[in-house]
Amino acid sequence: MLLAHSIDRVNALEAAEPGEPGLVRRAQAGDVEAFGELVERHRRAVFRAALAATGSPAEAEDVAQEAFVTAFQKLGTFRGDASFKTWLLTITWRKAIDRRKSIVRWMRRLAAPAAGDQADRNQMEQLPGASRTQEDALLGTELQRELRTLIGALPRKLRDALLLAGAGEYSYEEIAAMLTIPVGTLKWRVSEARRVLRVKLEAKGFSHVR
Amino acid sequence: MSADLDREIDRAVRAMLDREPPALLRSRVLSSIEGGDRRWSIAPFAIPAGALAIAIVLWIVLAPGRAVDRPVQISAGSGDVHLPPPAGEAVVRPHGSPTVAPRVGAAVRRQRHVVAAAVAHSEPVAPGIDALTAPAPLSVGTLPAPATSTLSSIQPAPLRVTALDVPALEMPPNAARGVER
Repeated sequence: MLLAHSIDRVNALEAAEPGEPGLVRRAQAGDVEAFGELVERHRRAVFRAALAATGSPAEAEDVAQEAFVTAFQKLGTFRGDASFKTWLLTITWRKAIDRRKSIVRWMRRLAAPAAGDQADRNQMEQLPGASRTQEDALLGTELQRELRTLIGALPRKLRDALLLAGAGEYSYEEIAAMLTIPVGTLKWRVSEARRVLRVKLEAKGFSHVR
Repeated sequence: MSADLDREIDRAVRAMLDREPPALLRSRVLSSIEGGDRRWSIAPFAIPAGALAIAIVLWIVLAPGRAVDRPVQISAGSGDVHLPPPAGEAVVRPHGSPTVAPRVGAAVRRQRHVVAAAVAHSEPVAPGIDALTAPAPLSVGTLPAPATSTLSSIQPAPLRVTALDVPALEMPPNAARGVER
């Protein structure tokens, strides 16, 4: 009787101030509003993961929406082995990679290649904030522009690892689960990406950055 | 790896991903779950649907049994030209008007013009014209078999050159006088 009372109390508390486990359970029971709250909590992480994979904000929006809908449909398969965020990000990354390979993307690029490429370039050439001195500002701007170009030109495995690790939204365990690689492999890819960037920057004359 | 470069790389990465998701993402997801938006679900089927549409159009255009030329039948006493409709098409029969196929090919239209001109130049009340009888079938006699060759060889016969018998020319009078002197 005491145990049942405790469980009821916990359930009541969760209903009053729902934590994520409670939201997930309610969503699994069919509570769409509870799932909506989960969408609100993770929309930024999902969207940025999709953006890291596709490089296009428009496609990232589609992927994020598709990932959330798929997650709702597959809520019954979520057993709580990993966190809900990790499970959701795994679905998101899979959808994003499918989109990256999909013929839809190919057709969009055929239909509006200039717009798509220009949008990607604009994204990569987005200017950073001001630096300490004017000279530093100029050098910083040029360095940032060059870094974005070089990051975009990295091999996909290195680029994906670097973008996800540098975004500041995901732990290494979450990224490793998304990419379905061991954490050690992930750390090596991030390190290798930084090394390649350093070599290429030096080749372009940015040796002052140490 | 230097700390400064790491910081610059992280700064570049954050700038590349520094986008906020759309404000309506939640409502779009919920409406999709509740059976609303099918926007992205149609796209994967766009190409197969387009290819199917092209295949249907090609089949309609290239399907057999769409010959244009049809025999023109002239009925007795009416002066009307009745053209059989193309295969597969319904004939529009407005009340009280001659029967005319809604769509005919160019060749049939030309035939109609020729017949109409012939009818226009005929007597006001055209006599009945019996339908043409089928022409008699052509009989082609069999060709005789070619004669067998009697040649034993196809080598050319040797040339036979006969010697020319050229008579001597008579000396001209001037030349003859020069010889006599």
